[in-house]
Amino acid sequence: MFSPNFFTHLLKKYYPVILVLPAITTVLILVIYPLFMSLQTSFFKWTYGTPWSQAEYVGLKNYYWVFFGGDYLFYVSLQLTVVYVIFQVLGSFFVGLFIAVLLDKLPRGGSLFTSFFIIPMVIMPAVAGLMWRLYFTYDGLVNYFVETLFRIKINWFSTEYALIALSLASIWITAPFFILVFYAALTSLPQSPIEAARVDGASELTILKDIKLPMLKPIIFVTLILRTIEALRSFDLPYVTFGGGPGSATEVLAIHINRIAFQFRQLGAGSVLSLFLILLVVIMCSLLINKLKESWVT
Amino acid sequence: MRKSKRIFLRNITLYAVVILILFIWLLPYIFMITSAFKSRLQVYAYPPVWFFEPTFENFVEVIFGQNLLFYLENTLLIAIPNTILTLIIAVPAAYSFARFRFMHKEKLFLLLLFLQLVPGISVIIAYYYTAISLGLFDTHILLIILYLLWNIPYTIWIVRGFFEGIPVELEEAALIDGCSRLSALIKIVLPLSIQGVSATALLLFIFSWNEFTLPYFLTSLNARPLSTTVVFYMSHTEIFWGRIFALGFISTLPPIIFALIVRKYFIRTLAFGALKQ
Repeated sequence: MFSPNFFTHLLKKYYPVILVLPAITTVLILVIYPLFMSLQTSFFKWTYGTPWSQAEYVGLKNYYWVFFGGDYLFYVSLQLTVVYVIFQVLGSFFVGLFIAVLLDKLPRGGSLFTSFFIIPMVIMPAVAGLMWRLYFTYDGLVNYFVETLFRIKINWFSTEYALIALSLASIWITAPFFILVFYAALTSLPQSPIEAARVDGASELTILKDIKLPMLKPIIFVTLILRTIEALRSFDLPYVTFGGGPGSATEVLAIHINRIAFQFRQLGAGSVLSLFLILLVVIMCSLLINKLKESWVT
Repeated sequence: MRKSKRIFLRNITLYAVVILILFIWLLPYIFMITSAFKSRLQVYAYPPVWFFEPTFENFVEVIFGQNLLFYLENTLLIAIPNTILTLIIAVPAAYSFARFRFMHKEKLFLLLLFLQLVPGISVIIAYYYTAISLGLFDTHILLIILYLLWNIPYTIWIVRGFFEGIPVELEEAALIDGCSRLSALIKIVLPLSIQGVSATALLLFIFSWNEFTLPYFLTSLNARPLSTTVVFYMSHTEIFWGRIFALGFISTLPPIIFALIVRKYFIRTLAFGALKQ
């Protein structure tokens, strides 16, 4: 019944799936397993440093604690996250677009310059973060330039300015992504509508605003969402620069998770927050899917 | 004649502006590199010191005083096997996505891409306790496996694009001659896309080299990689900036050199995904 032919037939039929299977199972296990474990621990009172056997089932208490006032920093942290993400994503978007447009104008050597501009992207985030931490100290590099230009010095490590400082540092690290994508996109745009507009006497600014940018619209949308997800996820930069401080002035969600789970040692509540962060990412992903469906239909 | 002169002048100004902006853009990094050669007092000097006699004391302290080679070895023992394992798992999958039709193909593809967006800090509690209960905490193998979560989907995404750029006819000819699918992949498709795949491999290496969050929580004395060691120089009383900069200089150099070597493919590889969408 099971002749060798049968197996070769089976193999042939499912060959594509067999090739994909190891990759998909590996990734699925690595994501689904911690998800279920977080879901489980979110119903337990479990102290960091003690074994799982000492965890105690508490039902929805952790959720109640996080969302209804027990964790007084949660909503503060949420606000900070929103401000940080918007500032970082929009900031790096405009900086990246500006530099990419400039590079696209170069008659040659644009790609060489691009690879130098994206250096901040390949530097270790931990090193880059610490570097900015020193530059933002009162007698640091940033204040040196601020003082030369405006004759004042800013205390970046104060509650008012720390989040701005963190965002500025993050723009330096994340703008290269936009430079890279927009430079590649701008150089691969079809030239005929641009040439036509130029012949008609349109200024370079009009061409950029009315022809090039509308053509880049789908890419702009996708990259903005991807960077938003990236900004929500990133832990290393906020951690090594300000570590959430001073006080809780830069305690974005990723830092808050670390604080609750490993400093306050509440793994249950930490799991609730972890799941909440994942939920935010899922919401952003669904925005992306809707957009993709749109572009598939048209 | 006059017009070409105007264009020439315009281009010169353009290059000047770009170079100026590039200099300002990279100034923080340049300043870090020069600061690595400063003495302790010069690092803190205000206004900043631009010209000084270089000293190597920071490098000596970092390399010999802090066992740099040990952490470097850990980084390599994680990054290299991870890169190889990623390629072994992801390249056949990328080939399948590029060449075959099967049920829910594009949905599976998107699923992979979305799964890798899971925040590292969100899975760290689960990874931490699982690693301890499996006896894998603070081992190289643990990080080699965990990095697959991000590296596999990324590689499939990029390499699929490279494979789709190769005409199918070449393989079809080989298949008719009795070549199996796997040997067609190895003998025809891979050699044709070898530059793209190698660039992807270098990129994977850079990712593993730079990764901070996972190893920071999941290693202690045995498998700690270079990327998490900068934090060591922050004691409660003092931060050793000179040493951090020396370490920063050493640890940021390989990725930058790699990125510049595979410049052409690097730009394509990194921008590709976002463009394809």
